[in-house]
Parts: sequence; structure tokens; C-alpha cells
Amino acid sequence: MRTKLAGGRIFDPINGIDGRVMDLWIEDGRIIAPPADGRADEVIDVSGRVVMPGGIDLHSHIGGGKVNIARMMLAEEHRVHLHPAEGDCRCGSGHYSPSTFTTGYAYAKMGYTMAFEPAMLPVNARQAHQEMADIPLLDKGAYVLLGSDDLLLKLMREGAGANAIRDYVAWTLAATQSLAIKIVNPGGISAFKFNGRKLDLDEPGPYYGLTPRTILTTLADAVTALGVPHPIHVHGCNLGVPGSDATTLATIRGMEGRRIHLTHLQFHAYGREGGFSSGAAAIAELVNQSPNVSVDVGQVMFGQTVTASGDTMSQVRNARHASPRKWVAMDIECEAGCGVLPFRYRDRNLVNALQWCIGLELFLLIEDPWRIFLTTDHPNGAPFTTYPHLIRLLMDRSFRNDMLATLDKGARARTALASIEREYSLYEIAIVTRAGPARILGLDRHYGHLGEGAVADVTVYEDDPNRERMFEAPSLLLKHGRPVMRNGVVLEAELYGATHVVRPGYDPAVRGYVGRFFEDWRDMRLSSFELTDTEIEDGGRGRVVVHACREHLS
Amino acid sequence: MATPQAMENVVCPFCSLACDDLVVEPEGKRLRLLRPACPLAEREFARDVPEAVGPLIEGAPASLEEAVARAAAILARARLPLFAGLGTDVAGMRAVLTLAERTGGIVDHAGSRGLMANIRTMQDGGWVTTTLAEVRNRADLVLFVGTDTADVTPRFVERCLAPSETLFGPIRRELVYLGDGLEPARDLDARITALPCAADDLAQALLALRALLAGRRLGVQTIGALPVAALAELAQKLTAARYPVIVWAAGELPGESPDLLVGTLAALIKDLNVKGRCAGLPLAGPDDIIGVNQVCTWQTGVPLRSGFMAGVPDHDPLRWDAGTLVASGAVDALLWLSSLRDQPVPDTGMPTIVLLRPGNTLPRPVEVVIPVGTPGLDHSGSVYRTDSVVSLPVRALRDTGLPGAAEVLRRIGAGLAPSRAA
Repeated sequence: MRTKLAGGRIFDPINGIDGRVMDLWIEDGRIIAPPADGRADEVIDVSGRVVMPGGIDLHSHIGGGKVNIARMMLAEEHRVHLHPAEGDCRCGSGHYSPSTFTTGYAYAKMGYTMAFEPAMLPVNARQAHQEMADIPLLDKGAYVLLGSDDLLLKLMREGAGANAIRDYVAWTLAATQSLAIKIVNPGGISAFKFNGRKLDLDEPGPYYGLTPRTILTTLADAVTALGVPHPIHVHGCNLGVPGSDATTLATIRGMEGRRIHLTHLQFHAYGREGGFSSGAAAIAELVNQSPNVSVDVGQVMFGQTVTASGDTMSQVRNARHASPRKWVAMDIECEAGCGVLPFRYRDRNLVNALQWCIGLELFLLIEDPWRIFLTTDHPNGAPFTTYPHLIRLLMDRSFRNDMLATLDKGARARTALASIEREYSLYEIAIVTRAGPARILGLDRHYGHLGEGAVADVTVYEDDPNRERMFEAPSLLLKHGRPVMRNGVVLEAELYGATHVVRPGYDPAVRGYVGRFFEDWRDMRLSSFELTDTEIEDGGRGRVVVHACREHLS
Repeated sequence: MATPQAMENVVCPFCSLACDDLVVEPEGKRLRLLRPACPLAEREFARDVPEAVGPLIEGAPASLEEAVARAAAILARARLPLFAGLGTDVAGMRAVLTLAERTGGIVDHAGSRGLMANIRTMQDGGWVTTTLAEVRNRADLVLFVGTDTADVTPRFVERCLAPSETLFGPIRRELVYLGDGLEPARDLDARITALPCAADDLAQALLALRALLAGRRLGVQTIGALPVAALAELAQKLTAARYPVIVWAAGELPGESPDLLVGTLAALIKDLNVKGRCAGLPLAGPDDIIGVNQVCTWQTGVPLRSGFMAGVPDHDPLRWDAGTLVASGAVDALLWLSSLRDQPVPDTGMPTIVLLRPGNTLPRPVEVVIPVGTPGLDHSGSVYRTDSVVSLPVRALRDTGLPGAAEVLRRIGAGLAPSRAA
């Protein structure tokens, strides 16, 4: 089957194509060079439309324990946000804590074809992958959480050395079928189990005596040595605290050139001035000067949502802000924890309004679109379904300023947002929602672009000057070359995507050490921990795609 | 000693501890537990598999095709089918939900009473909980409320509390048992206190404990036979401990509204977390209720006791109680699935389809009986642990030729007329 997607305006940043009108040729699920005979089995006329690779969300909480806790506890949300079965689409519920089928359909209707769960606890990997297996239409993957786990901290405390830690990291990636390493409040989740309520970058944590800075650099070195494409994916210390801007600046400097991805940076960019201020400008300036740093924003949007995080320390500290007033926290299995609390961002609240401004300031002041990615930290800042609105805020200055004018006056006095003239182009939007995530995750050989050999995940949009309307309703989505969504109607509800992983090599002897730790202290056998390909494949519905690591550097 | 045939590191699917250190030896189609010592696992693994078990229609032997067709006909005719029992694994529950959604049915688990008490607590105020390995390494004070854990999770004390070495050094734990007829752990190097409290007094005792923790003085000296001074001492210990853990098994809590007891515990635990640490450990009942509830929640957005009558998920912890629905006659067909422990099949007058582990007994010759395999014995799969975080793989230990529940349910679904698309 050969398809010609005829006459679209192509935005394909990985191949440097910025709105050129050209045909796309697809065969057997891949993009091919224009065939010599020019013959197609099917021609889809997309003239006048905008064509991009399928959207890639590199940070979205779509599966795993904390997401399911959110669903379970938010009965009120699941009574009102109901999604009936439609054609072959299964029913579901939830807007900011959507059920799995609903998640897949909603991403497809928005033109996205890949999303990554950014905080999978190792011991929860089986559940997270089981949940993600029930998300149709999306390719997916997960970043496995280290940095407060007793095994790593014990290895570091005992001075086990870089090789042992590298092997443990590599084994963890393989055993949990993960794509990258996530760090949440390094050492802080462990500290909270000892009743620690804050842990600064250079503060030794309880019992182990390790500072977050040491944990970050140790894991960064391990990830680099293993050649894992994605740098450590870091939710830093002091989330949400006024003064976290200084922590963030110190964290970047403390990496001394090591690669780091700072996630939901917005939540870590608060100054102390007047009690609560924007630290975006200084952080953006340092990010601009630091080619080793990439970020995603974690933009907040106004309205009801739920926050779900591995950062028990921060979630419990913020528990009094839960709205409605309920929250869950867990200490988990010598690895980490989780905290889930519903939250309502209010546009007439100074702090919430300023959070909104800070996110946009970061988007607009960080210059290199290849190092900043579009996220709301779904659902923590807002549900992913707000992306089209966010895109309009980035692309349309007068719309942005109109929105700004409606916000809390005190917040407006504390932001420079109104004076920022930058507007994102379609090309830049294609970078921050597709090409950039593909590249930073190391998927860009076959994903995130429309060059020859790429997997034919393609989104077609109407070129509507109202960019929100344009991005919320693409007219066509191809997944592996097959039309799976047209004009908001899902055509292939039972198509499931692949699971993306990396598998750097390791000395198999590490299994002996880890296995003893598991048996001695966790009363669990590795055979019930390690996740096999057969489980992911689940009789043919799932598929594992292994991405290459670079050569060992050590 | 284990023979060469013995299988090691076997995961036990029969209670919510999901121990993975079993050594099991096959004897023909029977399985023998060599170790560890667990009366529950020993009994469940050793259960005989009757020869030549096959499907039955109205008590008469039938082929699987015939039984599946009859089951599909019953579900197709039903106005409001009930899918209950639900002793199954992830794959089985996925298949149940597909069928329940297509037929507009209701799903409920045999152990939902306790589960709902916990879920309503989460929905009303939330909670702070922990997991088995944290208990093993951190719990210096363990308060058992209304359970001694012997029935619900026989090896809990052995696995989590008996070890006196922890990741953070040696530990001498204190165990306090609050409730009626509880048997404190023996042969344990721990300080053990029993606070006998009649079932009817438990709610008041917990409210009193919370009040004492908040620094209030009570106007009474005793609650039932329990001296308030003993509760005050307990409050003192909870405040002084580094990592106190409160253990309950909601299914064993007394009274009409166990959610009120769990809610009080959750609130008390949250109070303790303002200045120090404290965590709950809810012990779940059997039949993979945690896993089944997880699947229901992620696929539909709502936990068990949910229905699909209006084509959308509708969760109601009170109205969609299988027991009430059967008794009131609100449902008109029953699919009962019990592939792990034997849960008694309700005796109803309505058309009934039973998917069960061979050897289970029936109240009457029901319309359709289809024997299915047990996850972790007859086929692979995965089951969840009580702490809701850990899902463990289970494997086939023998070949009985029994189909898995998921497979049977898929075939029943295929026998229904295409409903949604048409």
C-alpha cells in the first residue's frame, strides 16, 4: 500500500523543512522517497493544510500508581466528565485524570502519537506498563525514578564506585523497560521518610549524609557513561518554594557542564521578592548560556486539576492547599513515594496568576526551541488537552496580552510578560512539540520527522489563524501510515502503539548484588521484579522498540 | 528437601501478600508446597484437580463451544447483568470489563465491602500509607486495629515484623493490638501490648485516641472495658515513635460502616504527619481484589462497584453492591467468576453463568458452568500486592488444559451479536 499525501505545507524541523509545499510518500508505515513511477494506491489531498510529524509529549503522567490513585480518589471528577462508547471506542471518564482509553483517543484527536510517563517507580513498572498497554493509538515509554532509593544511596554511602552505580542504573533501565532516568527531589523523598521536611541542594540528607548535588552528578555521570540518549530528567529540590529560583540556578551551575533536563521548570522558578516573584528571567538567561541544559515548562492553566508527584516532601508540605480538601501520600518500597492532591489554579489568585506568567516567560525568554519542550506536566499544571490553548498563547501576542489583562492585578505588576514581543512560528511549534522531544529522547532516527525511513506518524491541520482552534482539531492523523483519526472521529480504536526503551549494557554480576539486596531488605526475588518483553508484548498487542545508546565513554 | 522437580521462587496468588519465595513440587497434576510454612498456601496449592472436568449446562456435560454459546445467549437477553465474584487477574478483569461494557452490566468483587471502606476514605479525605518493605525496615511501632493479620495475610508478621535487622540497623519493635479476640504474635523479639476492645467499642476507642493525640482531655475513664489511660499511653507511643505504622484489614472491621473506622484512622494518621511521621498499611482481602480494582480504575476511571447501564462508567459504592443487587432482584443475570479462592456462588433464581476453579461447589445446577484455570497455577498472569504498588508475575506450574478466564470471556463476547457498531 503506497499513499501520497499531496500538496501539504510541511513543517519538519529535523530535516530543516519550514513550510515547504510538497508531497509526502508513505509505504508500509514508513515515509519513502518520491517513487520514480509516481504511482500511488491512494492519494490524500491535503493542499492548503499544514502537515507535521505526530506530536510527542515528553512529560505526561499517563500511567502508574499515582495516576490511578488520582482517578480512584476523584469520584466527583468521574461523575461529571463522562465519555460514552462510540463506534469501537470504549467508554471512559475523567478530564484531568482520564481513564486509559480516553487518554489515547484524546491525544489522537489532538494530533499526538507518542507520550512518555516521566516518573515510574521501579517496583511499579509492571503496573505502569499494564496501564499504558491499555492506552490506544499512542506509542509510549517511561522514565524510571532513582535518586531516593535506598539501594543507590547505600552504594553511594559505601563508596561502591562509579562502575557499580553505572551497572545498577543500566540494570534498572532494563529490568523496568524504561527509556530514561528520572530524579525527583534527589534524596528528598528518602529524607521525608525520616521526617525531613526540606532538603537543599547542598544539605546532607538524613542517615546517608548525601547531598542532592552529589546524587545528581553521580547519576548524570552514570547516564553519560552508559550513553543513554536522554540526560537525567530532573525534578529538582524545593519545588514550589519561593526561592527555588536560586536552587535552580545553583543546580545548573553545579552540573559543571554535565547534561541535565530540568522538568516542569516553571515550578522551580519562584523568587522571594515581595513574598513571591518571578525568577524566570535569570533562569532563562542561564539556560540560554548553558548548552548542556534542556527544559520543559510545566505550564499552569486556570481551572481544576490534580497534582500527582513522586515528591512526597513537597506534596505533604502543600497539602493544606488541596482543593477539594483531600490528599494521599505514600512511602514506597525503599524506592520513593508519591503524593496526590487535587488543586484549582485561580486566575484571581496572585500566586496562581504569577505561576501562569512565569511559565510563559520561560517559554518566551529561552531562545533555543530545541532545548525547551511544550508541557503542562499533565495533569499537575493542567491537563494535556490545554495544549492548543497554550500554543495560541505562544503564537499570538495580542491574545496573550488580552488573557494577561484579565488576571490578578498584583501578579501583573510582578511580570514582564506584557513587554515580551516574541511569537512562536509554526516551525518553532513543530520543534517544541515534535522534533525537539524526539531528539532529546534519542528517538529521532525514525520518529519526530518526515524524512525517508521515518515512521509515518503524521498530523494534518487546517491552517486556521486561530491557532487554538487549529491545534485542537487536526483534520487527519496517520499512525504508522494508517489513518486513525479524521475530523475528530477515531477510525482505528483498537490500534496500539509500541513501548520505547533503552538497554545499555551492564556487567551481569550486578544482578547478584541487587538480588541479595532485594531478598535481604525487600523480601522480593528479582524474578518477580524484572519485566520481560513477553509481558509488554502481551500476546501481540504490544511491541518493544529498543533505542540505541552511544558507545560507552569510560 | 526439594526434589529436582521442585519449582522455586513461585509467587502465591492466594492472599494479598503475594509472597514470591514459595517452593512447590508437582505430583501429577497436584501441587505440593514444600516451603515456607503457610497454612493458606499449603491448602490452596494442594487442592485436587478432578479428572475430566468440563463445562456443564444445566448440570449436564457440554462442550466449551456449547457452554460459551449458552452464556452469550443469557447475557444477550439480560436487561441488567451482574459480573461478580471477580476472583481473577489483570487479563481476566480486562475481559470482564469489555463484556460488562458491551452488555451494560455492573461489576463488583466478592471482597468489596472492605475495599469500599478504604476507597471511600480516599475519596472523602485521603490518607497516608506505606508498603511492605518500608514496614520491614522502618516500623518501630505497629498498631494493629481490629486484625491480628493471621487470617487475611498469614505471613505478614513473619515477613515484615520478625526481622530485627533493618537497612538502618537493628530494631526492637513494639506491637500493640487493639480489638476484640486478637491473638498477638508469638516468638518475636518485640514488646507486645494487647488492648482488648469490643467490636462495638472500636469506633469510640479510635475517636478517643484521635482526641487524645490532639491533646484533648476526655470526660470518661473507660471505653467499654478499655481504660482511657491505656489509650493515652498509646497516643504517647505513637507520638514518640519514629515511624509508627497502623495496620488494618477493612474486610475484618466490624459494623455496618467500616468506612467510618477507616476514616478515623486515616485522619489520625494525617494528624500525626503534621509534626512527625506515621503511615497506614491497609491489608486487602484475597482474590486479587487490588489488581482487579486497579484495572477497573485505569480502564474506566472509577473503581469497583461500577456499572455501564447508560454507556458510561457509573460508580456507586452503595447501590452497586452485588449482594444487594441480587437480593433485590434488580439484576436479571449473574456471571460469577472465581478462579482463585473459592467464593461461594450466590444462590439466586436468575440465569447464572459460573466460571470457577474446579472443585468449587454450587448451590444448584446453574445454567452454565465453565471450569477455568487459576492464575499462577494453570496459566501465567499477574497479581497485585496489598499495598497497591507491587504487581508480581505469576506463571503456569502445570498443564491442566483448563482455559483461562480471559479466554473464556473473550469467546463469550465473540458470541454476542455485534452491538455497538451495528
